[in-house]
Amino acid sequence: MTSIVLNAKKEVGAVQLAEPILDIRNLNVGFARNRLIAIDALDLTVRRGEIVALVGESGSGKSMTALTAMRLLPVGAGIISGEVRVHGRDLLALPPSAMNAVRGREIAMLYQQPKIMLDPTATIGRQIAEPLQIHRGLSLKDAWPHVIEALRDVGIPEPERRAMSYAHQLSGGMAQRVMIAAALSASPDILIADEPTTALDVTVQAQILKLLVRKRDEASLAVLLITHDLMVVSAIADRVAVMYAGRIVEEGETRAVLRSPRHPYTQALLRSSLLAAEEDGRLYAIPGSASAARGLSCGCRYHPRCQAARSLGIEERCRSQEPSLSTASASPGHQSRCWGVQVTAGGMQ
Amino acid sequence: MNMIDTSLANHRANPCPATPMLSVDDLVKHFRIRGRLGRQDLVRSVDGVSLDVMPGEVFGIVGESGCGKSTLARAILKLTPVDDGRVLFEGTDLATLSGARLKSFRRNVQIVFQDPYAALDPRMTIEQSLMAPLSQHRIGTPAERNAAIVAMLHEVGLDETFLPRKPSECSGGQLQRVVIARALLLKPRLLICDEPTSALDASIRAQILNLLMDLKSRFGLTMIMISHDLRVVRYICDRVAVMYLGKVVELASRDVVFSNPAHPYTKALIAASMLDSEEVGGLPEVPEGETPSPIRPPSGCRFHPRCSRREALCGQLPPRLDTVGGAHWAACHFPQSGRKPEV
Repeated sequence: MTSIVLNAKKEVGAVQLAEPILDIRNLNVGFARNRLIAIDALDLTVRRGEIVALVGESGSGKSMTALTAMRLLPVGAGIISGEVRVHGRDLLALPPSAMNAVRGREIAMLYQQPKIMLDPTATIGRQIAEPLQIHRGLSLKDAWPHVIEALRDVGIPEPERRAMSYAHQLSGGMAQRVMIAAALSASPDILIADEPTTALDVTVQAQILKLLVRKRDEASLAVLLITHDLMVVSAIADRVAVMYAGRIVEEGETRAVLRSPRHPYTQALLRSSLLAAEEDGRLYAIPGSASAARGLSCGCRYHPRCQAARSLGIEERCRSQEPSLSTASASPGHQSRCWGVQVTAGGMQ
Repeated sequence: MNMIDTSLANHRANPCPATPMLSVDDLVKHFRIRGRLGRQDLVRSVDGVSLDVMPGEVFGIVGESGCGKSTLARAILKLTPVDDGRVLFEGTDLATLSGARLKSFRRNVQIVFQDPYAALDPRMTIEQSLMAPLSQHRIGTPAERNAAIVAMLHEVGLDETFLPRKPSECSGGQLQRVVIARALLLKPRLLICDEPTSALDASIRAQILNLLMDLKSRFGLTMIMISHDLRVVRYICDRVAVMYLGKVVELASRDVVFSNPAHPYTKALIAASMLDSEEVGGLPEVPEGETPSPIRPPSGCRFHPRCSRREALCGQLPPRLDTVGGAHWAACHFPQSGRKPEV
C-alpha cells in the first residue's frame, strides 16, 4: 500500500518539482576550540511534501546540520558562513527573538530520545498545547480540543485520558508519537527528525515511520530525516544525501542511490550495513577509520580509505584536488563527489 | 517433512544428542514492584523459559525491549536470584554454587555489555581495567599478568599504546575491543554478548562481529548473542531463540528461522529488520500496537492481541513450545510453516 503511494509520488516529482521549503546553501560550521570543521560547504534542499534523508556515521556532521537549522548549536560550535533558508528567509540572519517565532511555527524538530526531551513535570497535553499558546495566542482551554485531536491523529488511544499523563507513564513509541503531535501542533512546514526511531523497537519503528509518511502525504509536510540507518532510508525517504566528514558525497533519489551507489563511501556503507557474509564468510568492514579525514583541508576527504582511488590509479588527484558534486547517473539529481566516477564516466563518453 | 511423535516432545527444545554446556530449565524470574494503592505487582520478566546451549555453538536470543532477554542473561550469569526453574552450567545447578566453586564459575562465564563507555570505569586506565579481573582471580605473577594483557590487546586488534589511556581517549569501537579483551583474559568457556554492537556505527559493527567470530574459533568459545538486530543474528548465530514477553516463541537453526519462520511474531521481526538493497521503498507490514506490559500479560498466547492471524483459541489457551518439524520449535496454535501441532 505504502509503496504504491511512494511510486505515485515519484512520478509526480519527476514531472514538476515542488517548492523548496528548507534550502541550505554553502553552510560551514566548525568548532572554535580545535578548529575542526563539522559541516563543510553543505548544500541541501527539502521540498514540500518530500522526505529527504541525511545519512552518515557518527561525526559526519548530520546532527550538527539539524541543530544549525534550528539554531540550537552547542556551545563551542559556530556558524562560519552560509544560509539556512525557510520559505526564502535566511534563519541564520534572524535576531534570537524572531527565531523563537519561527521555531515550532515554521520549523520543528524531533529527537532521538523522546522521553528525555519531554518535560517530566508537565502533562503531555500542556506540552502539545504550548506551541498553540505561543504561536496562535490560544488559551490552554481553547487549545485543548486541538490537543485531543492531535493525540488521536498520531494514534494515541484514549486521547482525553492520555493528555493528562506525564512522560514517564508513556512507552518510548508513545512518547515519540506525543513528540510528533507537539512538533506538528502549530503546523510547521518542515520537520527535522534527528534519529527519531533509533531508540525504538523495530516493530514500533515501522509504525512511527508510517506516521511520518502519512504526514508527508496528507499535510504535504517536508521532512529532513537524520539517520545512520539505511534500512530507515530505504523504507521512507524520497531522496537521500550521504554525508562523510562534513561533506555531502552523494545524493539523489533513494532508489537510485541505494540500488546503484556511485561514491565508494556509499558503496562501502551499504555493503557493511547489509551485514551479509562475503565470499570468505566474513563481514565487509570499511577499511581504515573516519578519523583519517580529520585535518584534511584539500583533496577528497575519503581518499585515505578509498580502494577505488588506488585501483584506478588516480590517488594523486584524489589527494590534491577535491572533486565537485557532479552527475553520477541518468537518474534525475543523482550526484556524487568522486573523481573515480567522473573518470570512468568520461572514459565511456 | 520429517514427522516426530509429539508425545516425546516435552518443553525441552534439545535436538542434539550431545551434552549441553548450558541448560535453562523452565526458568522463571518475576520482579516485585510497588503498584498502585500500595499493591504488589509482578513483572513477569522471564516466565518459563527452557533452552540448551551446546558446546561450540553461537546461540542467539532475539526480541524487543521487555521480552526478558537481558534478564535471562543475568540469570544465566547468576547475577540475579531466580524464582523457579534451574540453570545448569556443565551439569551443575547454579543455585548450589558458592565460595570457590562460584568463583570458578565466574571465570568460566563472562559477559560483554552493550555500552562500552558504561562498562569501563572512566577514571581507570585501560591497563587498570584489564588488570582487575586477573588480580581479582589471583592469576599469574605481575610480570605474567602484564604479558597476558599485552598479548590479549593484540588479539583484539589493539596494542600496548592503549595501556596508559583512559576510556575518554578511545573511540567506541576501541573500547568495545577492550571490553572483549577484559572478558577473554579469564579464558572463559562461555561468552555472553548482550547487544555488543548496538551502540556502534555500521562499519565498526562489522569489525567487532568479525573479531568475535575470529576469537570464537581461536579460543574455542561457546557464545550466547543477545540482540534485537536480526541482521546480526543471521550472520553470527547457529541457532536462534525468539522471545516475546518472557516466553520463547520460536527456536530453530538460523537457516530455518530466516527461511521458514513459523511464528507470526518472528515473521514480523524479520520483515521489520532486514535491509534489502534491491527492494527499495515501502514499509514492512508490522503488528499493530506495542508490546503489552509484562505485569499483566495477555491471556492465552501473549502475542494474540497484535497478531493478524489470531482466532478465538489464541486468547484462551497459551500455546506450548512444540516442534513443528524436527528441531524447529514454535509456540503458536497456527504456525505458518512446518507441521501443525495438535492442540
